Amino acid sequence: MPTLEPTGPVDMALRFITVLALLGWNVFESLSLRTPYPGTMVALWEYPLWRFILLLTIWLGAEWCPRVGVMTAIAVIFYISNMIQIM
Amino acid sequence: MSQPSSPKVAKAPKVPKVPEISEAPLTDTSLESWIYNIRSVLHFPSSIMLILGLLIAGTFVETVPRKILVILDNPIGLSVLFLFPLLISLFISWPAGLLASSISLIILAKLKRFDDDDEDTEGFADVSNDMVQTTKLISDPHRWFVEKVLGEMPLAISSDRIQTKRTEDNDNRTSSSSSMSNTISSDGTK
Repeated sequence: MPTLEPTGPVDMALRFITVLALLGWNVFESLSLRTPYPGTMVALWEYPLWRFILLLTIWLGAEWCPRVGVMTAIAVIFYISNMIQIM
Repeated sequence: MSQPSSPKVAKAPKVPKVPEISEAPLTDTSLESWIYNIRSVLHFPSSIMLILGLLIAGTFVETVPRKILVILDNPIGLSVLFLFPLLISLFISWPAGLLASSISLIILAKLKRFDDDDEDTEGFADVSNDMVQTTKLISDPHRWFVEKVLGEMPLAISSDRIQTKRTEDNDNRTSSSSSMSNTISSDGTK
């Protein structure tokens, strides 16, 4: 599969930074019940275009790099699940 | 020392090689090759259509009425939710499978929300219609006194109306005892 390995140092650095950022988001925001989501994200939940973009991000991240795709999917699923529970 | 030049021989003009009849590629007309060919040709459009369908389904699963999603709230429906991403990842691509699994988890979260709502209805009438989303975002910047004291800044309110209902006594022991008092025993006494 060609997307499993980075195509160069820039690609590798971008993947590493993205995975680290998503890991931090998942640890401190998604998995922590005491940390509320930003108000903008809560307000945007009503708009279908926002939900479409979130799901599109999962697919694009997975097409780019499997690790990025999995981390994006975790972040998006936790966000949507929490929004479904509170709305 | 010069080598003796070889006598010049007139070169024969090149004649393009004509494939023999036995070397010509044969067309495989079997059903298996036809299906394989169709699958390879249609793989790209089918992937695009599937991913678009998944994205649209995941976008509007929030507004799907309860009656439709409850169809999946049984062992067969839950098995479908688990098998569907697996089949997509096997036959289409694994990013599409990841997207399908995400949407399955969103549907599961929605089903769990329905179950929680069923458990919380004791003593209160559920005035919310399934077709109407009762959650309202708070646009008024002025907060209540309690919110100021407790330092709360709510962004949304799940329901601004509470309708209570009386508790219905389903116990039929009273009526049964009265009916028993009216019955006549076998010895003729009440």
